[in-house]
This record gives sequence, C-alpha cells and structure tokens, in this order.
Amino acid sequence: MQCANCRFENMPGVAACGRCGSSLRLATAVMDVQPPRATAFAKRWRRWSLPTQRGWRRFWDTCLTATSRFIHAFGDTPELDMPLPRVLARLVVPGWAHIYCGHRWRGGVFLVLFAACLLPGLLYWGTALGANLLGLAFGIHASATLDLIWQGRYGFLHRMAMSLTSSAVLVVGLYLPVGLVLHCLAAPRVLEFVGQPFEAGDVLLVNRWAYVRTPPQPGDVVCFWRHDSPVFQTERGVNMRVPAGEDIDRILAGPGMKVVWENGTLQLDGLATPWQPLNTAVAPQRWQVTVPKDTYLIYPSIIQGALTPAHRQSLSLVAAKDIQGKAYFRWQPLSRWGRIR
Amino acid sequence: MSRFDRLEMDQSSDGKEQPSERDDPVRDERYWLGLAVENRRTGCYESALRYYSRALENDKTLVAGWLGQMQMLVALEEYPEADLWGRKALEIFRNNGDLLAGRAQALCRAGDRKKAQDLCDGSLRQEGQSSYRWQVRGELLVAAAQELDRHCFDKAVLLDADWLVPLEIALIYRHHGYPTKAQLWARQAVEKAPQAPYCWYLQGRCEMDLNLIRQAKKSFEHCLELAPKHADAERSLRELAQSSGSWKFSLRQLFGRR
Repeated sequence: MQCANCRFENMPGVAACGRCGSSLRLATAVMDVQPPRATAFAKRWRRWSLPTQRGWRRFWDTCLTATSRFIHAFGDTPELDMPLPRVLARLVVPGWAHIYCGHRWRGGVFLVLFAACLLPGLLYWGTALGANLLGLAFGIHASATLDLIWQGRYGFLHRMAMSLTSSAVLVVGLYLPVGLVLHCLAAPRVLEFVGQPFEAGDVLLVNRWAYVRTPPQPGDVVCFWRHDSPVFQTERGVNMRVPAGEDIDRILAGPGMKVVWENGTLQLDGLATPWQPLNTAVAPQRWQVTVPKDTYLIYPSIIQGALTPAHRQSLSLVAAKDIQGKAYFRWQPLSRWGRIR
Repeated sequence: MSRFDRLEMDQSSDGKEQPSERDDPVRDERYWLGLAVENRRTGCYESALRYYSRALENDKTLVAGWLGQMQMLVALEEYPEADLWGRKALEIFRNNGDLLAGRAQALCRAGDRKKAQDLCDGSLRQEGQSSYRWQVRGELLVAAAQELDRHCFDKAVLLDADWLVPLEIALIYRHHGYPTKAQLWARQAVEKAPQAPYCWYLQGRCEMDLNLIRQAKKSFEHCLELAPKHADAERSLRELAQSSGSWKFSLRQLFGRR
C-alpha cells in the first residue's frame, strides 16, 4: 500500500506508513475537510491590530535578545529558551503560569504560599509584621518566576544573573507601580498620641489623592506637614518646641471661617458643629479666631499642656499646601478596623 | 456481466458515439482540483478554497488539496486559520515539506517570524524540492528585510516554469510593501501568460501603488478586454478616475513610496 505523503510502499494491512508515520487508512477515515473560517469582524480587527501585534513581537524579541546577551556575558551558555509570552504574562500571579503549563501541584503550592503571605501582609500593612510578610510574598513570587524560566541547566553565575534579572523585572514591572499606587492611596501612618476616637499606636491609612479635586473640609482627619516651631512656653511655664515632621490631626475650620470655641463646643460662623480637636484635654476653655485665606485650623493634639493665645494661633494655622492627604481608614488594631468618620 | 458487453445502445448508423454522453466530466477529485487551480489563476480564492474542499471530500489523501486550502486561507488573510489547518494536515501527513512551508507562510504573515523560520528550515530539510518551499523561504527573507530573497525566488522559478509562480512572488512583494519589485515580477507573469487577465490586473495594481496612473489604466483595460466581467478591474478603473483629481492623489504623487 503506497503512502500518499512520501510514496513509500508499505505492507498491506498496515495502519501507518513505516517511513513518515502518516495514516494509511485516511481514505476511509471520517473527518471534516472544511477548514475553519474567520468572521468578517475578526478579519477587520486583525487588519487593524496586526501591526500592533507585530510591533509587540519585535519588542519582545528585542527584550529576549538583550536578556540573552546580558546572561551570556557571564560565560558560554546554551541558548536561552524563554517560555511563551502568554505563559510569562501569567507570572503576574505566582502559580498561575505553572497551572497553565500543566504543573498543577507545583502551581497550587506557589499560589497557596503566596496568598498565605500576601493577605496577612496586607492585613498588617504598616506594621513590621506586615512588612516581613510582604517581603516573604515577594520572595515566593520571585521563586515561582525563576522556577518556570529555568528550563535548562545553568551554572551558578548564570542562575544568579537570571535571578537578578527576574527580580528586577518583578520589582520594576509589578511591585514598584503597585507600591507607588498604594503609597498614594493607602499610605500607612502610626498615631503617636491619644485623641478620641484614636489611640496611640493606631495605624491609619492616608489617601494622598483625596484633595486633588475637592478641598479639605472641617472634620476631616488629615495628614499634614508641620514646620519647625520656635521655642515657646505653655501656660504652666514649660518650654516646648514642636519639631518639623508629618502629623495627623483633625481640621476644625476652613479658610475664612470664624471659629468660636467655648466650653467644649465649636462654632463655625455662628453655627454649632460636632467637630472637636482630637485631644480635647489640651484644648483651651475659650478661644476665638478667624482663619486666614489659604489656611486651615488644626489644633495641635501632640502638645501637652495649654498654649498661650499667641502661640496657639501660630501653631494651629496650617497652610493649605502643607496638607498632604486624608486619613480615611483605621487599619490597626484589627478590633477597631474600619472607616474614619 | 459479459452478456451485456456487446449491447449497442443509442448509437448512430456509422457507430460513432453521441457527443452528449462524453461531455459530462467525471466529477472526481481531479476534476475539482482542476477547477480549484483554474479559480486560483483568476484570483477567485474563495471559490478555489471551496473546490479544494470538494476534492478532499472525494479523496482525503490528496496532499495538494490540503496544501491548496492552506494557501487559499493565507491568500484570504486568514492566517490563524491557515496555521490551525496546517497543523491538522501535518498530523495526517507528518513532516510533509510543502505543508510545513504553508504553515511557515501563515505564521510569517501573522507576525511570528521566529517560528516561521524554524518551520521553513524544516520544510527545506525534507525530501524533494518544490517551488513553493523556496517561495516561502524568499517571503521570510523579504519580511526580515534581508537581501537574499531574489535568489530564493529565482530558484522557485527554476523549479516550476508555470506563470503562477512569478505571479505569487509579485503578490508576496506587494503584501510586504515592495511595489517596485512586485511590479517587476508581475510583468514577468504577464510576459509568460499574456492571455491571463489576472496577471494584467495584478500588474495594474502594482502600477497603481507606484502612482503610474497611465500604465495602470492600460493594464486594467487590457484585463477587461480579456475578461469583460472582471469586477475588480472595473472597480480599480473607477478608483483611478475618482482619485486622479483629489488632493490625496497629488500628495501621493509627490511623496509616495517607490
């Protein structure tokens, strides 16, 4: 029986060609001979997107060549054989690429370990434990990446070079952007003083982009920059100086508002408000002030002891440009986890 | 049965057979394959694809049918489908050089040049030679903007003197944006087959790409003389007439690519 592919003469009754392996029972086989067709929409889409895909492919090939040259600088190596782009894209989540390639158990282990470190790390965000757990999560992520990329046998130096390269890619490509976004949207800050409703040691999340569109409002708990103050005396004669640094406190009044503080009640422009300084123990008995333009009234909660009227005004008025963000969530302790209202 | 062998039915007095009995062709795979190639030579790739499929329905062992389907899918710009179909064909006809070349062409046009190169190298390593494998090799070199494409195409023409070969080479150059080279090969096809309307049509398109408006018009008119119902040539002539007065045309004349 002659093979239709390579014209080799096979023995009768044989199922596959002895030379090329093609099936000899093709003539009687039941199979579809109609090829798959693209829809008109798919063809239009491809016409538009193909130049972009080609561009990305060239960019990817260039990156591979550059990485290969970097690694080859450490000595002769077998040709770098990287996984497919669609596999590499799944490395964003540790274990996903392994599962996609069929290594289910290994992928599952990486995924579970990563989740076990990442989730508690995020839960303890802003604390030392959280930082350690997030560091472990990154280590597991880097290990999963390297486990997939190392497809051949490489020497120690090459593996070090690949470790550095993949860690750098992970840091620059994933963790740095995510970290920057988190730093702006959820920067953790630890309170050092007691002020209702907060306690010392509370970790608050600060949103640095909260006031991009709308200005701060009275009642907002904000993170602001306090400038160095001169040495001053409290009413009890204690010398004090407030160093420069970030601080968290509540805004009591906005620009142009007339503030009257009397017997624990705050009035803004003649209307009573529910807001009070975070640390009412250090608030004066009676106080009247008009907030200048472009400044906000934030009574300093960190100062122990009542202030003289002259120093009270200078320390309480914060320029609008020094307000860095809004503290909107109490992250720690977990027993009082929730939004700040 | 032997007793029916000498039956004489519907014969004329001089014993000659009636022409009507022999006019109906036998619609086997060769018939459909012939129709497919005929349509391919006129640029009707959809019909050619259908006829290749019909040929395969009759005989699935026809490698030319599978190859023709892949080539038509590539001509119709359905590259992922051509690649998929090539993979299926290669499961049946393992390591067939032409099928490997077909997959290489589909992948090259889809943008995956590295894989296409590997497949093309594999196809040239297989037994036998064919013009198509060298055409695909040349296309890969064109896509990579390397200089040796001319040698591959010359080799392809040496292996097969059919006019379809220079025509398809012209199509390859045109696809990759080299209208000058495409026009040279289209002219070769026209010289080999001056009676083929599709060659004139392709020459006209290449001349349009080069803004050689008068020459293009002549080519399309010649195409219409040979095939009065050639819709693409009519459309191209209308396009020429409409664009000749526009500002876009003037800009193309000044800054158009050669």
